[in-house]
Amino acid sequence: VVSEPSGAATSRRALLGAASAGAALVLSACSNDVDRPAASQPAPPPVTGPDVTILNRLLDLKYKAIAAYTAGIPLLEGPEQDAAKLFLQDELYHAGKLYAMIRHAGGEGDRARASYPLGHPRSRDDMLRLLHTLEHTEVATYLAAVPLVSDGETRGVLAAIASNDAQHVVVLRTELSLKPLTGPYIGAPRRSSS
Amino acid sequence: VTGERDAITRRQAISLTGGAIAGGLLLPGAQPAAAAATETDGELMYHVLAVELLVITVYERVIASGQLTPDHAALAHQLLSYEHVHARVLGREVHALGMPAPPSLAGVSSSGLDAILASKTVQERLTAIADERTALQLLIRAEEVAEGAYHDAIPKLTDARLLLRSAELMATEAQHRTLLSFARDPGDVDKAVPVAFVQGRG
Repeated sequence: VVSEPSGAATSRRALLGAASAGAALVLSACSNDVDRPAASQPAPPPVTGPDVTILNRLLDLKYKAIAAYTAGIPLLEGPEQDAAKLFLQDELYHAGKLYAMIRHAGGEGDRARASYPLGHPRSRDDMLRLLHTLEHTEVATYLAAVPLVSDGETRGVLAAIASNDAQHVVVLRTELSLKPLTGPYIGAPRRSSS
Repeated sequence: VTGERDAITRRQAISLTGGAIAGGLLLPGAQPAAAAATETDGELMYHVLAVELLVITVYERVIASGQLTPDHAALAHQLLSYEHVHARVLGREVHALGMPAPPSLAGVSSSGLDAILASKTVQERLTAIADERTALQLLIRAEEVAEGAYHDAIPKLTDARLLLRSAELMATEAQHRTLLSFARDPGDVDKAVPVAFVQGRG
């Protein structure tokens, strides 16, 4: 994966047509701006060596989510499929950003595995439940990682990603006819009492 | 969503208001430049609590406007109850860090609150809620301001527990924003989840 911002004014929707290309799409995400189109593109934040290990673990979760959305989109229809395509796009942006931060730190970004264990979802409900579980895991893992990384700007990026994934959770829970919110706040594991 | 794309930092917002933001959004006696240079965890948590209190007051004024349908008023009440939980949690943290509690905004006029919201790049006005769409839009903007407060604090906080707490609350505010957007534009996921990297506004 190469991070080489093209400067193209890529809209979020413009890349949706490529959603069926699977993890290889990480390449296209990384070859475009990893942030949404904006007036300026800040340089990737500095990342320390120990952070690289953490970021690679987080990156692998993104690869898994990308694989799941890629596999799941054909099982969905209509607005739910449109939402899944949108969320796949977000996951690609996240993966691209993480990869860029790792490379900027002089680290080596791990590549996606050949396959990820996703079970055998066969229906719309199966797929939505799988995506919901994965997104919830992402949120919890990213939130837990925020205090673990040393660089402040990197912490901000992880919180920004976790917050976006938390929004995905709300949409997926709505599609599953679950209560959109689980309580006063979404949490990471091992949170101290409040 | 402009809040994500042309967001200004809280420091800039403070500068915009000359450090004289009503209702304790700036520490008593603090100068904007000094606050920007040497913010402690206590000061950072004070600021996010002050923003949470602002959000609570916006919810209360929007609900009181009577422009929300019963279903959406129920949603607003639920989210308001969660904001109160956030404020209590943050209040304990701020107290433990030896900081004073930010003053309540309950006595601030709606035009005064509008001035604070404007300093956070919110265009909508509490004094001009003419319909439900505007009412929901104000709540969405308030949630974005909360997102921005946490996003601004997280790079600077040093305590791991406070970092985790802030990240959790930021993610929760982002969820609130999505729910409110669905209330305003049912089924429009692109508006409900408008950006891949949530940064908020203000």
